[in-house]
Amino acid sequence: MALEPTAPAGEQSPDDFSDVQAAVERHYSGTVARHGATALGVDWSCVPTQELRFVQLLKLCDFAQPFSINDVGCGYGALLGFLGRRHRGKSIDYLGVDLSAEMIGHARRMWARRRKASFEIAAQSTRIANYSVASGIFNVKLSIPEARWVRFIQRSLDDIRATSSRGFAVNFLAPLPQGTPGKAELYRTDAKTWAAHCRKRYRAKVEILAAYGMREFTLLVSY
Amino acid sequence: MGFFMKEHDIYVGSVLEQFNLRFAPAIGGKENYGGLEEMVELQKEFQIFKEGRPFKTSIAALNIGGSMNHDTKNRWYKTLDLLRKVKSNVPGQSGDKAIVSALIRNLAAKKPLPVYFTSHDATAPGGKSEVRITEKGRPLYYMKRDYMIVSFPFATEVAKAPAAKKAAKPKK
Repeated sequence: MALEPTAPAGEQSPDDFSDVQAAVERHYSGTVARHGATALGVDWSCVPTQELRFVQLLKLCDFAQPFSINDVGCGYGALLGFLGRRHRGKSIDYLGVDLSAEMIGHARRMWARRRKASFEIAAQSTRIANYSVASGIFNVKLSIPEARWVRFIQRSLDDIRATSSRGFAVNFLAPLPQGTPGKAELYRTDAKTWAAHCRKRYRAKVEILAAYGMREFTLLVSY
Repeated sequence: MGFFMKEHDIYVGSVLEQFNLRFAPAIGGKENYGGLEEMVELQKEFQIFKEGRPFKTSIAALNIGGSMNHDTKNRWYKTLDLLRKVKSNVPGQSGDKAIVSALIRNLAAKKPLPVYFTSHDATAPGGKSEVRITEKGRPLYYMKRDYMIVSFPFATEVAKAPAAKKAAKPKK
């Protein structure tokens, strides 16, 4: 797969992803309306699988010292709850951003008393943090054409890179075995493509985590 | 057990299917992880199944059956609650404890087996109202694959206890 951006004549400007963001916002506002502030409400099967992804993403962070973190596509802020339980007592300055006002509404109500934590309705982080993580935000492409979705990912990664001083971690769905029918609205990709993209574009060190029992992978990108 | 599902017993098959997908073997190559590999990692990381923790609690955490309608889900969990009061084919262990122990053992094994969940008729002649654990078997004739098998004892209604003989009234 080539990752070079292309803009066919007559198509929307490659830099304008407002239609993609609107579609994603509608989708997740719908899931949280149906299932509430739960793993199902952010399209995961259950809390343990949701948190196993957090375990992988957080391998990027150095918990020996205080740090700040941006959670991009934070949903109702499940990562904040996980950090509180798994890394109790650690000094972590958290910002969660999400396109869905409903999600952020849930997050603000759930974590109103949490210190050093805030949430914003936004497509990208509004501050530079030490680290950024994004779990599952590239998986559900809905009916958006794949080429456009790829450009959306590239743009999102650029934004994440620009707002992370030490590194970032993101995850993707891995391809299904050959011949297995997949859901058309899901984006699946191979690890090497995006690892190479991050290495080249950000001159970063990229670690691929894949052996954690799920048909997906996590990229730890540090610089 | 089984009768708790009442009119929702049409969903028992669907719930068991959810179990069987979450504990399924991988399809395709080594890098194509399946339900079992995910379960092994979840167990390693979070100890989902734990001695002393009811099977129902772990299943609820995994959201198995959780996507059904609320009434079906609640009845299913109530059915699983009953496992603590049901015997098993493991001497001295309740159905609940036998399942939890077997799953812990299997998921920690060097070569864990996929787990096949099924049911049997507890009221059939010779049948027993007990959970049956089979450490290794081939429950699916169309698959050359060993599984650990967990079979729930289901029945259509509560077996009535034999009526106690009335004590004869002492003659005055």
